[in-house]
Amino acid sequence: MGGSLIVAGRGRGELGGFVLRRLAAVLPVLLAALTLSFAMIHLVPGDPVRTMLGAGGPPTLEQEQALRHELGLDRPIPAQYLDFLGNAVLGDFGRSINTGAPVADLIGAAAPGSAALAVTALALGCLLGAGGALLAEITRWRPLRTVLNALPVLAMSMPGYWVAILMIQIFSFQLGWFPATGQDGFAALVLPAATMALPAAGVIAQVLATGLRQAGAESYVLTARSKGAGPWRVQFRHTLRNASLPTITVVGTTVGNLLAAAVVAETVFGRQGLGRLTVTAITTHDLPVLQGMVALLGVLYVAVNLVVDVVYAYVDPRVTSGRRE
Amino acid sequence: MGRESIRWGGGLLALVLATTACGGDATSGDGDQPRQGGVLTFATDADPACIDPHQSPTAASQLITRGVVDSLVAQDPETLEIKPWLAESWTVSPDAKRFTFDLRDDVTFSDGERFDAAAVKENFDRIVDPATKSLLAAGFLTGYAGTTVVDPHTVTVAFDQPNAPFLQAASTAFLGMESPATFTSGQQELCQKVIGSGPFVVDDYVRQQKIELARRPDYQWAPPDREHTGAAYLDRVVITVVPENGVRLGSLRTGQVDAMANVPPREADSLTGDLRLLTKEQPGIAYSLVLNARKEPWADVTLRRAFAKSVDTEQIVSTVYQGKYPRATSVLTPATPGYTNVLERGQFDRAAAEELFDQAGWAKGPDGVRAKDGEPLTVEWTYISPAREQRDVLAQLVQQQLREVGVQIRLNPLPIGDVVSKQAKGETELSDISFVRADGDVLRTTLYSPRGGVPASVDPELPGLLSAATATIDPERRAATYERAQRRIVEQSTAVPVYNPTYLLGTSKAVHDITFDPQGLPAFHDAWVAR
Repeated sequence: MGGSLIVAGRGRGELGGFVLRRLAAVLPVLLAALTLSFAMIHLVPGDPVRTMLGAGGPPTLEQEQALRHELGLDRPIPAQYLDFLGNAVLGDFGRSINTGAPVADLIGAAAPGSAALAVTALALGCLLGAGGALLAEITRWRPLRTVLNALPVLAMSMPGYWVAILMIQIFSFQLGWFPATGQDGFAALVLPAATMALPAAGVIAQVLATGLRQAGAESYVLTARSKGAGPWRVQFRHTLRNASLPTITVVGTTVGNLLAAAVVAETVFGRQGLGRLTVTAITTHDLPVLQGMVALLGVLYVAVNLVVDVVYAYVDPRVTSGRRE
Repeated sequence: MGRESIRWGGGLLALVLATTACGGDATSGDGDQPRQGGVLTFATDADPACIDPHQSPTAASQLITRGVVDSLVAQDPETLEIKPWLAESWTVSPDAKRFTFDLRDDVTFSDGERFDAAAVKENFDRIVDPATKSLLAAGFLTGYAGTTVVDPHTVTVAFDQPNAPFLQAASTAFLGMESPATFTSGQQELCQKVIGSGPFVVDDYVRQQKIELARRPDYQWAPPDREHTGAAYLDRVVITVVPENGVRLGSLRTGQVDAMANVPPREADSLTGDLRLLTKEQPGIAYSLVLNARKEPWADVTLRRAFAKSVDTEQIVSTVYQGKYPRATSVLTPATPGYTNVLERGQFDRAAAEELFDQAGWAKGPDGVRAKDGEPLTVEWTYISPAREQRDVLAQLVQQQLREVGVQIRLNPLPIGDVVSKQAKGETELSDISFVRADGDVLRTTLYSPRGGVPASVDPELPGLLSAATATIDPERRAATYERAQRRIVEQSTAVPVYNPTYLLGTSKAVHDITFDPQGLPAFHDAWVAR
């Protein structure tokens, strides 16, 4: 017993160093993301100032100059780049051309809605995906098993837009259980979250099912079975931990895909969020907002990967020691 | 029970119930008398982004702020005449450079500030200030020389050059009166919340999601075209942003909202039973195709005429818009002062078009494509994507129509900013435009302007005509000048009018008296709900 405590203590120290090393590796990725978003404003064809002022008819020369100056586009590019990096580190991406509001405020206002949606969708996706995979492995009733094995592919292959419309048609317009649009309360969260959760659940179910099947063939499982463990005990005590490793990676990837799914869900369900903020910024050429979103995505990408790595290391301690050699 | 069935059941059941159970009381049961109180929920398709009309040029922001800010004068939606509003009367100098307004003395902004001559001056000064980044309103004040406070209730707005259209511009929300006390809070703050003297106040604005307007109880100064001058009947108007057409329509059908903006034309006829459709043709520039006459080979007027005669506008409005948007009969729409019916019988004539193309020296080759000196006849059409009102479908249909006479159209959909940028540099060959404004001056500001967006007309006569119209306050002389201008534009085929943009508003039967303002947008001051 004492021995295992010491092992655990050492494991925690290794985990700390591991996290630090991973954090250091994050910086170049963030710098690359910021540089990319800075380059965007100069690489987009046409004059960004003219383009930004375009929506309301011909701008005056004074307006053009004012905006050019406000954006700092009348200064040398290296100076612009350093300023941009400095401000970006402080979370300042200037003001939206479309709304005049600070980009940080717009992202701050849109983020909670998207976060609630993403977290609910992810939880629902994990629940449905893991539940479906486990049930498929445990059940001895063949028809249910066949259906459960076929569902993930179906869930992954349905276009998000179509699923969203279908959800609204059935659960809002026909049954009247949930509001079709808006974001007042949990009820309004259910349909868009379910729309986003379906493809995620499909991927998770598939990967977990494969992992469970592989782990089920391992010798220690056979040992457990021969000792008289039932199917539930075998899955939860023995195979799930091993089978969950690739699933953790997949869940990480899914978080990345959620923003793309949010674009559809937020538009169809009329919600405020990062997905719509991004799409609007793209169609209106609101470059400061796009720069802020690119940077935010960079941070999110890095953070999710970090979390995945840490969880991975926690579930499988071999990971930290392996990297150290 | 009957009501629930309508809400839940399909079309047939609803229809039967509507005609039997509810048919009789549609008029008597609901009553004709406006009812005080209640909430109207309205699903619109676009987020205004910025609701300050001094800054934003969009119809989406107009829809919100028209009920929040009042204007110096009002334009009658029917007769299009200019009537008193915050100004009881006014005089215009004969050279159309000086406008003196006598103001009402009982008006307050919703933050308690008084509306007076100084407030008028601060509003106009703010609009022309480059820091405001006004994208449209400042254009209405071209040549602004300043505003003079004569006394607290008399104010003079002066221009360096004649600006007869200013009076109509002053009736729009773009030049609406906001509380000057708010101007110090910054442009982006005002984008989020606007304080005016209107019947509604902005209570809440959640970007991309909803805007809530609340009734102002002490409102007493509505313009004369309204049904009543006092406070609005509705307690609240909740405007939600639902971009998806099908979801907006389904929300109306299932009673989740009371009214919806921009019914898709192909769905318009399905609004029966418990629902109804209100339509309003919008004033301004009809949706038109604009050929850049400064670019070869389209500098040749014969070629442009041939192009215009190749576009079957009748087919476009009947197939793409199910006849819900009328075919354009001039570059201005009939709802615009100064409109003249130039194209009563239409201009589509394929045989004549083919003849004109031949005449211009572009002969059809064996592959059916016209060419001159080995050069095929092609034109690039730059249009805004994502397109509203199915203009992308329209573009494909026109492409097909032109292919039949041997002209190849290359479609080039681009984001709005890129399109305007290309137009401003005169790089487009073919582009499209429509623009809402209830004054013939819209011809000058959109089709002919020194730094204009759309390629300015090469017609030497047009600039003179359009500036002459701004220099006279005589409505008959203005109308005659605009008539001449409209005929020239069609004769020269620099613009090919296609359809008249029309607002299609869907409402439930419980909603009464949503009116349309002169810009063709729904207004809620007279509206009430019966339930």
